[in-house]
Amino acid sequence: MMLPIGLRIAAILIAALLVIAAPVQAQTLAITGATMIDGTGSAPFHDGVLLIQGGRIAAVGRSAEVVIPDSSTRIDARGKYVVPGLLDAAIMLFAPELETLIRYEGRYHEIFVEAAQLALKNGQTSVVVPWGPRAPLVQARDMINTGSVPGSRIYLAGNIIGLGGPFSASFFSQWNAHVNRAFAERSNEAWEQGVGRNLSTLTPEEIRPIIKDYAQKQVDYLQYASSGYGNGTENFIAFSVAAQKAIIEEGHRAGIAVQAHTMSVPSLDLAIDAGVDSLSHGDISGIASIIPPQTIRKLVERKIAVGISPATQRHVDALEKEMPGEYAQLMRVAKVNRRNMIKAGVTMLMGTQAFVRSPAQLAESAVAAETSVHGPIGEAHFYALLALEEEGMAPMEILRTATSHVARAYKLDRELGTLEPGKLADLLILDANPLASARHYRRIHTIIKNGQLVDRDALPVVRVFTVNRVQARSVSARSRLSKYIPILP
Amino acid sequence: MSKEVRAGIILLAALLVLVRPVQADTLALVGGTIIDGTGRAPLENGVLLIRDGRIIDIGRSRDVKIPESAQKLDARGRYVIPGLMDAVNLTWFPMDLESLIRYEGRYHELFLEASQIALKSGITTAFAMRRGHAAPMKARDMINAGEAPGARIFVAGIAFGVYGRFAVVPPQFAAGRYATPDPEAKYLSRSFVQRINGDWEQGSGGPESMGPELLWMTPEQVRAVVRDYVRTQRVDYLKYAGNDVYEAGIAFSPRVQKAIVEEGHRAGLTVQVHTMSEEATDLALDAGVDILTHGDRSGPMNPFHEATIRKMLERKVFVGVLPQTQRYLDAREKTDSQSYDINRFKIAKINRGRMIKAGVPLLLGNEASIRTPQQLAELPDLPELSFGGKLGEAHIHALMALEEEGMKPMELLKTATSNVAKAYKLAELGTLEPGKLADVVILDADPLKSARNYKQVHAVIRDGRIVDLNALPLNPLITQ
Repeated sequence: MMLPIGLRIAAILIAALLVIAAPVQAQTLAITGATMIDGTGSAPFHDGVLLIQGGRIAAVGRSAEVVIPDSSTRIDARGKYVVPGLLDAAIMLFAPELETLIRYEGRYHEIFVEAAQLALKNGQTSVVVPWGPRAPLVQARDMINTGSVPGSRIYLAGNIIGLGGPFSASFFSQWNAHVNRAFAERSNEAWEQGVGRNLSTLTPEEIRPIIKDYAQKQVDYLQYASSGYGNGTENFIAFSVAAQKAIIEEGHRAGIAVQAHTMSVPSLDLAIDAGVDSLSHGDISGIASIIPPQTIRKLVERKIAVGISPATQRHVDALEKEMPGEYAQLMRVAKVNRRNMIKAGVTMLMGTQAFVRSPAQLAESAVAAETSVHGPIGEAHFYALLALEEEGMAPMEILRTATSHVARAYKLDRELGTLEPGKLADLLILDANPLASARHYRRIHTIIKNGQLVDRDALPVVRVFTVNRVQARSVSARSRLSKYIPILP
Repeated sequence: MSKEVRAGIILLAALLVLVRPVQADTLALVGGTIIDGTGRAPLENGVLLIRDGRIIDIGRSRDVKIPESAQKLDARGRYVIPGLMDAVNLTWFPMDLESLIRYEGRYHELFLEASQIALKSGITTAFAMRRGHAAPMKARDMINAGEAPGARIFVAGIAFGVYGRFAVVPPQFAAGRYATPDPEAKYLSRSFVQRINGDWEQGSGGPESMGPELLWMTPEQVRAVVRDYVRTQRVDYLKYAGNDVYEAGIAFSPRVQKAIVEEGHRAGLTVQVHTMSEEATDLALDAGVDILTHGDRSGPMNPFHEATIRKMLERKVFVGVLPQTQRYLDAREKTDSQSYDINRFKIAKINRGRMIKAGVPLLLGNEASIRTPQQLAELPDLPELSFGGKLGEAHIHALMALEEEGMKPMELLKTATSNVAKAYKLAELGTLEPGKLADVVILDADPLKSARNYKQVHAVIRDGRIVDLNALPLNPLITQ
């Protein structure tokens, strides 16, 4: 449709104004006086200066060594601590619940953006999404990357290669009784994207071209199932070592990282033998056995990064008390595994599997104390950091587990993960020293993403899932009827 | 926007205004065979005059003077009957979990969609039972206010008694049923379930309060509940449970049933009862109900005894029926001969035959609903599905069933028109007589020759206006 000339001119004018109002890229932002903890593992240094130009870190060093251009905008960070923006190595963004899937079909990307904004609001400048519908995830990622909405950077794997969609036997097939088949099939296709359960019936050579195609589908890394999801009936080994090798090779050929989903020691061993880059939640080994020392040794020797979802002892205790069962046991075993891996020096990647929660979900779910795993986005990672501290991880390693290790494992380390010149300027200014206590990660003073200050109070800008719905009266029948039955106690 | 486009829009708007039916004047249906629904013999070469939404004259061509300005509708060779009234239409739309979530806040649109599909098939009046309060009422009010086309809707709201699931629908949502955990609610947020229940149960309390609690209350306490309900809710008639929804258990004592019926009548509302057994039917007849919602059901064991059918006649009740053809039942029996349902259906067919013979006034029902194309595809592939079938064609199969059960053609028409109007005390509907609201269907074939001919809808007139059948449903949410 053609606009009248007046409107067209106005539109051009507005666009011009917007360009002028945008921060001038050439200008320098200087953070001065802070203690710099750069995420490389090098010792922190006091009275540091960090210069940002064009969204990237231009220089970082002691104030004596760095020349601050006169025209710089300065942030006085004396007494404060600068760390790289946090990364979440595995976040779910939204819980694949039946009600959510139906209600928001066609709008998943909005919830993903909303969730990414909540993550950013709480210091996570990049998040890795290990499982979800590819198209809306790509849409959300691109909306954020092009700057049309604020939010944490999203990196996605799409489907877990070899597993089905949410309505398949891999996950929640019990839902099928309650929805139209068409919807279930549509949903499964949105997740599976051609790399679903059928793949495990193919030979390595048949799998190769399928993976090759899939790796071209705008995914940022590959995740395949070494084992099933682990929902009781699905604890099988999904792929032979040869098949796993084929998947890994095709991923590497496409230049992206390959991660394995494992829920048991045997599936973990197979993935190691296949030469995988990382494990998505390698601290989980089922409910019966811990990961044996020889497997842990192999992880160290082969430099395989292990995704973990740490939980505090308080949380695990609460789980066992409030909802005893397999899940609590799984979490208890995982905690032992993490302690052992920390001791052995395994490189780990902190993930939370966190979800955005609706007000109703927050009010209704029986959440055990300090929930990190599958916890609410914005809170979960703070508890996960505490858990790492309690499990014996050194403070500097905790920081790297939530920053540079994650960036390296997903091959994002050219751009992300440390405070080094040339990297994207994603960083946090903290009011307290995170190396003194993991609790101090909560003490966020300023968040900078892409070299720009994040307006934390404004987030989330997109509000789809976190809005309150009108609640029905929940007066009990008893009180309603009491006017008819006066003697009702 | 360019000038051309703007001019086009203005032109289009003008055209739309112009093509709307002219309201002020007279509409004359000329030359058709008029079957007025009173039971009188058909009138050949008749004229029916409509003005201001009402029938103003009716008679042979030579007896009726057609004003010159009248809009004439040529009905030669066609058959003019009252608009059909679907007396038992419980399931207006598929209450599956997915639709409940997906269309939350828009349920009234589904009612509109259903009522438009009904209208398209010649059903000008329908009765919504259960399925919530707010949504059917909103649809009813929109249709009555002329904001949307559609069949007239009359709303019962909740059905008193039994446990909440009776009023809650789908049954699984009721948390109170013998405290059995709800199989679907475990996948849902509690607040969503509460919102649904709140809507379904508005006014008189939550599912629990219209459920078992009511059964423990004295007649005077139940009377107070019902009185408040009719005072505060804009329902068109009352319904209560004689039996449990699926089982034979009797819900209310005779004294409580009397109290409910009395309070309904005091408020000027008809009262009907859900029954599934002969004993419950008998109790309801004693309580003085006006209508048995599906009074052809006596359970899977025995057909009604003669005494019960005699009592129906004596008490002058109208009996809603859910007729099924033999062809359907035979096909169904082949696929599921062991089911509890098939016996109930077979016995209901015997009951209808006996009631027809005895002259009990029946009301056509079918409990049809609109469905998504997907849901339609998933329906069992059985011929002539009526009860629980597809809205818009289920009633034809129901009429065919009554025909094969021995109902005379003229009685068949009354069962779908004037009997329903009488049963619900809707004096302005049901027949083609001067003074009545002009709800008229023109058929291409003679309905007195074959019940199948009710399918041959040529035109539908509601409230004196010709309905644009091709335009319906206007904004389909689930049927496309």
